Amino acid sequence: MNAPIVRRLAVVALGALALVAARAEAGELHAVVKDQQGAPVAEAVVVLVPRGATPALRPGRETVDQIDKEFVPHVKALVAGSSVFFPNKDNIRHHVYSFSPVKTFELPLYVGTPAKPVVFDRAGIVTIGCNIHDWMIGHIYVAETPYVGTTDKDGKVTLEGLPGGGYTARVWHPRLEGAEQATSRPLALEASGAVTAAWQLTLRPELRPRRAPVPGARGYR
Amino acid sequence: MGTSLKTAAVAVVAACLLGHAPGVSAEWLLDAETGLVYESNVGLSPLRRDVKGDVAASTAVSAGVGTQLDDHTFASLTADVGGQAYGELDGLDHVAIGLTGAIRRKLGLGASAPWVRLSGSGARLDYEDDVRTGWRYRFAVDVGGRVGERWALRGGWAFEERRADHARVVSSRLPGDAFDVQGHTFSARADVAATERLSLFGGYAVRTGDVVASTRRDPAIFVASTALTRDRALGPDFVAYRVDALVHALTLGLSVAVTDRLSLNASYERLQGFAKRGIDYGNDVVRAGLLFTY
Repeated sequence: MNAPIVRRLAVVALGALALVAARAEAGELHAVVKDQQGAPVAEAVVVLVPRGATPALRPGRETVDQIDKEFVPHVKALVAGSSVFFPNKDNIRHHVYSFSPVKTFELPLYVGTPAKPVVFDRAGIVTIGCNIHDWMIGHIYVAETPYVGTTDKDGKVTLEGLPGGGYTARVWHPRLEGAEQATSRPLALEASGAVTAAWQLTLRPELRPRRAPVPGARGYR
Repeated sequence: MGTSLKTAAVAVVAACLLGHAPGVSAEWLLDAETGLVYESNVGLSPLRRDVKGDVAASTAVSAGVGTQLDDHTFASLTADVGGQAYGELDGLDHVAIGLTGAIRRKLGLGASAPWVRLSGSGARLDYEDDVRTGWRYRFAVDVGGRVGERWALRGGWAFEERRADHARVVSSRLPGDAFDVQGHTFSARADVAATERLSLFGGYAVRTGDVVASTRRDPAIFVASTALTRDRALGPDFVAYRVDALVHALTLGLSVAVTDRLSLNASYERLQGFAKRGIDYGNDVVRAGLLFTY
């Protein structure tokens, strides 16, 4: 084994150790979200905003699919500046649009995946729809912080890699009754270890255009 | 029944051709409905002595193709098969086989954008009592839109014509084509989402045109009639007569979403008809059933 290879292996090993150490020193937030009946709330967005300087955002390339005439996922949380592709995985055409002031756009009738993604460069909530299938509603939460996640079917999400310090935590859901800011609370995180936080939200009924058939009404047909 | 089979074959072939038209991204459409219908006055008789109520098992299946022609226009063509089997009045048992074509255009972007729908249909009606057997044609224009999160409003006009195969004359003074009728209907309807799964709807319609009703022989009714024929479906001594009438219909209903594709539905409809010379009738119609869509 020659010297350059040994040096290279040593650098890689040290780098890996540094990453593990940093991971061990980072904090975690275990968030649990329930509704007014105590049932787990899926697709709630949990956001952590550092009280000090906001770390640099790392916008990603995200995807919101259209499968069986629904947006999948129904709620997508991402970092401001991220770009989103909207692949149509149905064998029919969709027409995606948003009227939201945070991001107004329209992807006229298409199949497959549009060549260019849509860039969400402003923080806020974007409601998307399909102009053909009115029940197809989706939500994109554009966060001003890198620390954001969406709850699973058990109403849980873990945010990892959090530097120690003070934060403001808040929760949003498409059916949230009242303002998102009303869910805000301060949180203090140690440099390592986990903190658990729970929210109980009051949710409104889901009243988007119904997909199930109604006698005498033909939907989009 | 031979004509009905031909109609069905034409419907299926037409639907398949549209589905495979080059460059058209079509989707299959399927609606299926089954349930029970009760009518308090099946024969629409104005005379208490002749009023007969009955329950029918009702089934309808509509299958075909649809395609988005442009950003705002959806076209569909479906083959429709349906039928009713009555509990007591077997002569009213029938099947209907036909075609429906429709174009729906959305006038804007978003779920609240209003829409307009033009449709036309033709169907072959085969009755157990063949004096009713014939063709039915319907052309309609409907408009609608959503208002806020909960409400959807619609209104429309429809012209319907029915042509019977036979015109059996039973009177020297009146023609026998009592089942040749036509009329115009104007309607309005509102749907409201009461909860995530429960929708309520109510509507009002007024129809002007021919009405065919049944009665035992009655001179006053015959004077007001424009056609007369026998009607054994209601009874051996019944005749069917055609009058020019104004019919008001008030409907209230509810729909429970069982799944995204299946709903459980119930409705009540009050029909009140007014013809010349005080020949008025009422009919209460109660429907309950399942509706599936794909």
